Amino acid sequence: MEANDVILISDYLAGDLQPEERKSVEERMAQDPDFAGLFKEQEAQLVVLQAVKRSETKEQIRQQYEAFRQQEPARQLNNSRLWQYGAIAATMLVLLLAFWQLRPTSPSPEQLAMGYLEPFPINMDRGSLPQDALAMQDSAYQLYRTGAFEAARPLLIDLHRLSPEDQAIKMYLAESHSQTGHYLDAVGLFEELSEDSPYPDAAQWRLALNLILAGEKERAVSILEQIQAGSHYKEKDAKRLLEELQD
Amino acid sequence: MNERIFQQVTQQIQTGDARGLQYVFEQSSRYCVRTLIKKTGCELADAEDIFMDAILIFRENVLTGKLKYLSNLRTYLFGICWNVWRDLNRARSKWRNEQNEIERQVYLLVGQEDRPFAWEDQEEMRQQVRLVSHALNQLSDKCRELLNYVYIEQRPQKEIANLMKFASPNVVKVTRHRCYQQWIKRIETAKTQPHGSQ
Repeated sequence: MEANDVILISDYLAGDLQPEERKSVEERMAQDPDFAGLFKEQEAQLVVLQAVKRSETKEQIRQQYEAFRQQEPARQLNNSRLWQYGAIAATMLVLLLAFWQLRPTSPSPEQLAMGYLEPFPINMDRGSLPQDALAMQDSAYQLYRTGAFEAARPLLIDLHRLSPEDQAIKMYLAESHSQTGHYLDAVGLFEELSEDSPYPDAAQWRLALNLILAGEKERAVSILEQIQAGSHYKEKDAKRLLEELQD
Repeated sequence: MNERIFQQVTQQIQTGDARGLQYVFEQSSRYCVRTLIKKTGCELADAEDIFMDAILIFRENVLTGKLKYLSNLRTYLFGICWNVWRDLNRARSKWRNEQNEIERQVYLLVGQEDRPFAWEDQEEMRQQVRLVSHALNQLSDKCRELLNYVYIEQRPQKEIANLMKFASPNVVKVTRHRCYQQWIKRIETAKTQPHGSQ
C-alpha cells in the first residue's frame, strides 16, 4: 500500500481536493484496479468509522431521551388537580367519541395525494447509455413497466449515476422513489425535472403530490395554485385537490 | 416549524446544547413512537430504538447542513423513522440479524445511501468492524475527534481549527493526514495478527 495513495484517498474522501484533482482520482480508479480496491476498502472503513461514532452518539442520545421520558410523567403527576381534570376530560371524551362516530371522516392530505398518484408511463427506448449498461437498462425498464418499482429503483439509481443527464432515466427514478415511499428523494428529482426536462408539466404535478406526501403541504399548495392558474394538463385535478385539501 | 425556531434548534444542536434535542423530543417522540407501533405493529422498545436512529440521522443532517428548511418537524422525523424501519427489515432479510449496535448502524448507512454492501459477506463485515474499532481505540482522543469532525460531521477546516484550538486550517490538514495514516496503519497491522489477539 502506497502511503501517498492513502493520503490522496483520504483527501478525496474529506472533500479536500480541487475539481481537476478529484477527476484525476476518478480516472485512476477506472484504470487501476489496485487503486480502486484500496479506495473501496477505505470507503468501507469510513462507513464502519461512522457506524462506531453513531453507536456512541446514540448512547448519549438514549440517555438524554430516558431523562426526558422520566420527566414527562413526573410533570403530569405533579399537578394535584390532575385526577379532577382527568374525570372531566374522560366524560367529555366519551361524548366526543359518540359525536365522532356519527360525523363523516375526512381523509388526511397524504391520503388525498395518494389518490392522485399514478405511475409515469414508460417509453422503452434506449437513450445514450454505454453498451455494457444496456442489459441493466432493459431489466430496470421491464421491472418498472410491470410495476415492480422496489426492484427497479436500485437499478435506476445505478443508471442515473452512469448517465445523470438522461432525463428519461431521471424521470423513471423519481417515479420509482415516489412509488416506493422515498418522497424526499422524489421531490429533489422532480424539482430538477420540472425546471429542465422534456416533461416539465408531469414533473411539476408529481412534485406537488410528493411534497404533500413528504409533509410539506405549504409548498405543495403554492405549486398546485400555479398549476391551477396556467394551461396545464392537470389544471382540473389541481383545482379539485386544492379544494379537497381545504376541506 | 417556523424559521426562528428552526434556526434556534439548529444552533443548539451545532453547539451541543441539550435543549435542541429536548425540544425535538417534546415535539415528536410521542407521535413518531405511537405511529410506528400503529403502522408496523412493532413493540414499544423497538419503536423507541428506531426513533433514536431517526434522531441520529436528523442530527447529522443538521450538522452537515443538509437540512436547511423544515416545514413540519414531526412529519419529517416520522419519514426518517419509516425509512429506518424499512432499511433494517431489508437488511435483515438479506443478511442475518445484527449482532450489536455498530452492525445495526452499518446496515442503516448502507441502506440510507443506497450503497452496495461493500463486503463479500457478513463475516467479512464483522471482521472489519472489529479491526476498525480496535484501531480507533488505539488512536488518541484528539485524532478520533478530528476524524469525526472531518469525515462524519464534514465540518469546514476553519471551524475545526476553532473548535480544536489549532493555529490554522493548514494545521488541521497536516494533523488529519497524520491521524488518518496512523488509523489505516493500525488496521493493516491488526489484519496480520492472529485471530483473537486484538
